[in-house]
Amino acid sequence: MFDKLLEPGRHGLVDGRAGVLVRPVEGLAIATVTAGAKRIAAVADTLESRFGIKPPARPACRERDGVSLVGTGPGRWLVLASGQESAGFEAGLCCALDGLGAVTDQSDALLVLELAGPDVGRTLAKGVTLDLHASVFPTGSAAVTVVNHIGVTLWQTDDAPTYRLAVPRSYAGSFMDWLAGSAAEFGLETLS
Amino acid sequence: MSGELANPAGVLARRGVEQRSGKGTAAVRRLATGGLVDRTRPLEFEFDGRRYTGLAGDTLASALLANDVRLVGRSFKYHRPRGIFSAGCDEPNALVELRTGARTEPNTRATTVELYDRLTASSQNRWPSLDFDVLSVNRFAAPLLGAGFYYKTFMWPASFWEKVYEPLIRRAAGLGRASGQSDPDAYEKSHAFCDLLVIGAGPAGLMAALTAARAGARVILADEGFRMGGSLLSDNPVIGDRPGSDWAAQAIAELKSFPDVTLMARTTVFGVYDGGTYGAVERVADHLPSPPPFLPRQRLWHIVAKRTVLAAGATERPIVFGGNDRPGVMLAGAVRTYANRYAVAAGADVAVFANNDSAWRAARDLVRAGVAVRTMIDVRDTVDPALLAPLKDAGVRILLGSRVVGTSGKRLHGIEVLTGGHRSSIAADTLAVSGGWSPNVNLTCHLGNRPAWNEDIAAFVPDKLPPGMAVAGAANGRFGLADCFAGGASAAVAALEELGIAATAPALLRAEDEPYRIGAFWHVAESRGPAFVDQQNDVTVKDIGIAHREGFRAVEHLKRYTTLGMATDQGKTSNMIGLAIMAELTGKGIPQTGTTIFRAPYTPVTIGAFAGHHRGKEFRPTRLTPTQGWAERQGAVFIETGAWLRAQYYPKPGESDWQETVNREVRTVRSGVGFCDVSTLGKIDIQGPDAGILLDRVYINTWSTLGVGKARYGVMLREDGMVMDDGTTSRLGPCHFIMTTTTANAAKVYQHLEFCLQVLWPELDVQLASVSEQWAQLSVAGPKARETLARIVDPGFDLSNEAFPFMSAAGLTVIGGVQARLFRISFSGELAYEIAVPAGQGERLAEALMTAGAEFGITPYGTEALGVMRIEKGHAAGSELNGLTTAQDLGLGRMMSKKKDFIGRMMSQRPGLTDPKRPALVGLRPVDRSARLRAGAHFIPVGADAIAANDQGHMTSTAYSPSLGHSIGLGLLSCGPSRIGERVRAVDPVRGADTEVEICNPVFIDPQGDKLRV
Repeated sequence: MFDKLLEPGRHGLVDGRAGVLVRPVEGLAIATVTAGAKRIAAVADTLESRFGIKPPARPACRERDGVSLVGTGPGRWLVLASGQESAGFEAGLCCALDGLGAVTDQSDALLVLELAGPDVGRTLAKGVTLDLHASVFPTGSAAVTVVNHIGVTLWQTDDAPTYRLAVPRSYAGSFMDWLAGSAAEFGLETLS
Repeated sequence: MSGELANPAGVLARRGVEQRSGKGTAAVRRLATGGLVDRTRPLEFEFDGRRYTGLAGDTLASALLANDVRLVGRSFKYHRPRGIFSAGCDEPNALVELRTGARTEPNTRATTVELYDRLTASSQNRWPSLDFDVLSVNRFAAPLLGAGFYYKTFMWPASFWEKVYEPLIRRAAGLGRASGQSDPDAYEKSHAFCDLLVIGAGPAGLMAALTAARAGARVILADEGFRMGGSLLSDNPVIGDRPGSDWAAQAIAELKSFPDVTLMARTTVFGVYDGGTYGAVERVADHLPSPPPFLPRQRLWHIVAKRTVLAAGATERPIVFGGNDRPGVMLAGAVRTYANRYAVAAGADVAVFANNDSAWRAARDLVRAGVAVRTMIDVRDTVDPALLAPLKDAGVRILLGSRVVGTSGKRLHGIEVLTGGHRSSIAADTLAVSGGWSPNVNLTCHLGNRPAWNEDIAAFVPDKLPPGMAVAGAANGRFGLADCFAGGASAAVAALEELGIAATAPALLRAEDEPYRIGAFWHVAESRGPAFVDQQNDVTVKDIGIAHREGFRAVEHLKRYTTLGMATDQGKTSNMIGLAIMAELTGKGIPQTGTTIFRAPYTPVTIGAFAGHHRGKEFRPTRLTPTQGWAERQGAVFIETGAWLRAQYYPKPGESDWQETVNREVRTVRSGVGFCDVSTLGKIDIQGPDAGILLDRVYINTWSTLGVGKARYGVMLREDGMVMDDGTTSRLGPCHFIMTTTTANAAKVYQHLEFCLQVLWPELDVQLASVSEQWAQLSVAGPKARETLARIVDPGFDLSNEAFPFMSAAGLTVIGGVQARLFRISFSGELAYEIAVPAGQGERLAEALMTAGAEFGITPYGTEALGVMRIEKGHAAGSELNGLTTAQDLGLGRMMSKKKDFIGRMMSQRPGLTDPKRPALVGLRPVDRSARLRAGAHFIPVGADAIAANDQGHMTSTAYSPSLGHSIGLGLLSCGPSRIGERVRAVDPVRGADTEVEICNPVFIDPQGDKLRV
């Protein structure tokens, strides 16, 4: 899907090192896990014992062994697992939670992009209305926000900084248009 | 140059010569030394077709003055010749058209335009030429064009206004013209955050920024100019033993060394908003002929600052006197700036007219720079001897207790001065005027505050401030240089302390801190000739008198009646004088008269900057369906439906128009099989033990009894009893439902459910997730739908009517193991299914259906055929679910459960909503079957006048029905369902149609629904 949105290679400014690198993160099984108000702790415990990660109780991301838990609301997480088949992942999660919380497959709903490069902050500032400075949004921070009128979930995975953005599938083309336009002055390198 | 430009042939001939020689005119007024311009980098530019040379570091205004170009525009109303008046964003006169073609920018202030090589500008509001302007005869009509003339003149006859008066006035008045072409450049928006925002990079701002930077704070320093330094560049102070501009450069270099300090030159902070939010516009490429590749022309910044130091400086105001608009009359501070910063002598014979000390220092600087100052006039009887000495030494004639009463020359060549009752004429080509300085309080007032009057400096100063803002330096009414430094540092220290950041003020700098004394004086009562208060709007002292006499005395009324303080400069140099004159007339005093309200933007901001990327097709994001790529390959024609782009129809070779294609698509579905992407419908995953209860409460019908594996049609109401949305919801498990909504209301319904769960019934154990993006959902419809599907469902799933009857739902796998959901529901009225697969499999599913249905002549169909078939089946859609209809109106009244409560139940029983005369859904067909029905037509009884009083409803949807061979319609008609068989007229006055129609059952095809159940 991604290769249809933006040709692999260099876009915008062609001189020097690309200011922004973008890479699609493929092969992810993605699901939302939602807990009723009275069962948040129970669901969190189940997720912790399954993935070895304490689910964050705030907008944050925690990762271990290829599984990420992103807090997207009270009692609500986005779970991303690399190298897993989506239907099986959802079924396994459902089984583990056993009705404690709701599991919904979103593997095809979201395009996950990884953004890095020296100018990634200046590029994101053109769309993200949040303060992404290291003192405010350090590695492990997450946000459910809006970029270019498109709802995205955003989290920082390392201090480089590297960000991941989950973009709704139907909006992916418009999102890439925004990204290509906003990163053009720095040079955008599309990695596969 | 007088008269030369009136001869176009002459102009062309001369341009030719110049172009061949490749040289501009010598810059006769450039001083031999000094200034912050780069004498090694000459820049060629063109004004009104003539070529000149300036220097890097010039503004267009300084470069024009250097070339002795003094006439730069014609005034707004009277077409009076005007010159450069100021050296900054307060400029009322020198508005030019910058650039050419699609990049033309009208009303650009020459005083803020950074000179670049090959800049092209032209003067405005003149014809045929700047020097000889036909409409300058307006001057002789001035007595008629005074304050309020728009309101008083051209009142009769009314019909003349649009056709005669307005075009006439628009041609005569006004300034520049827009290019009329699409802007070729890009604009964008960005966001920034900081501990301390410093607005203005003069002495106070630089010191505030340095203080904060050294404390490790996150700092943004924004300045509207292309070179930071403010008055340090224009006033030539000495700091320590060095020029102020050197100190500024060193401070800027130090600021640049901090990683968390952002310097934003060419950036105007134009507005203050709630929550420490500031609007700013960065002129990224305005100083270049065209933006470099991939850079926007301008960037709009949304800055969120925990604290702010406003160090925006002050604006000089003139004294108003007769003939004060003549080219050559300038602000004293501007004349000083041109000499100190740009090394330009504004004239060869300068006189100064003032009421305050700063103008004396301006005169001193001019003398030092080698500009000929011959006369110093001050309204005060005595001044500080320290001011007198340097001018006396230079042989300047000093006239105290005097005032300028008139001027002469097209370009100034003489002034008339009144001294002790005696009038004398004095030669001068430049008059530097100063009526004192007004702190730039604008941003302190954007959240509704008013400034306070300070008698000592005869100016308004900041009073109540927006939360988080402090003011330092001249903006705070502290004009001394040492005061600016100390004020900037202490404001930063205090602001950071509130944030828990320890900061210390840098050691005090040794700076000249000269006193500032002023004798408040606004206008010369003894003036000869018109005395302009607002030069941009041609408002004179007399006009303020008219406003006073006619009762428009409040400053806001004064502004609107006279236009004082409007347009691009927003009265920066004129408001103070205007209100002071009104205060004199009313005897109320200035503090009681007050100022007009200060609103954003501080200076004009290009609309393009507010739009950013959001223009053309990028006005908003476009959503693409999972089968977009596939549909493109099929040659589909697409249509925007809300944010979605959907396939409208799929033309085949040989089909002559859309109607032929749509007819074919409908016939194929009704006789064979077709499919359509319906993924745009909202899909909400509803899980939890109380899911059925939630549905019972949001839908009018009962849900908790729905069996697992079953689907049901539901209608939900708003609290007010009107229909909000409809759709089919299925039960996938005891605690698991999947709801569908209309495309348009997908987000609204999700929000509604969240509201219900979070606010109304938090005790319900229900979890929601939108899955609209997850599933590609295709509707497969037609008598051959089952046979087609049978070829793609994986073995083991029984599609038979007995095993999977109408309104069934199930999970299964298709096309070899793809997870899917199948719903036996129908919008078309045919045997139909909706099949959902993960969105990434959508195109594969479409291809599989094409293969599976090939034998039956399967066709993909678009939104047009979808719409035709739903009208044939009488299903309500967007035109009927318009927020004004009840379930009863739509023929769905019997769905409303009487055994349970639901949102909207109570209000739906209001008498107005149960009135049997309400327009309700019916079908319509033309009596003359060849007639075409049109949506929007109104129903009028046969034989009645087509007037509003006889209106009985309207046609909501129409289509040509290929199944029936004629036009059909749905409509909302008063008492409609009880009038089936009657006739009314469908009157469409907009398109001139009046068609007799038969009222019929809205379900045109298979009213018993037999086809659904086969």
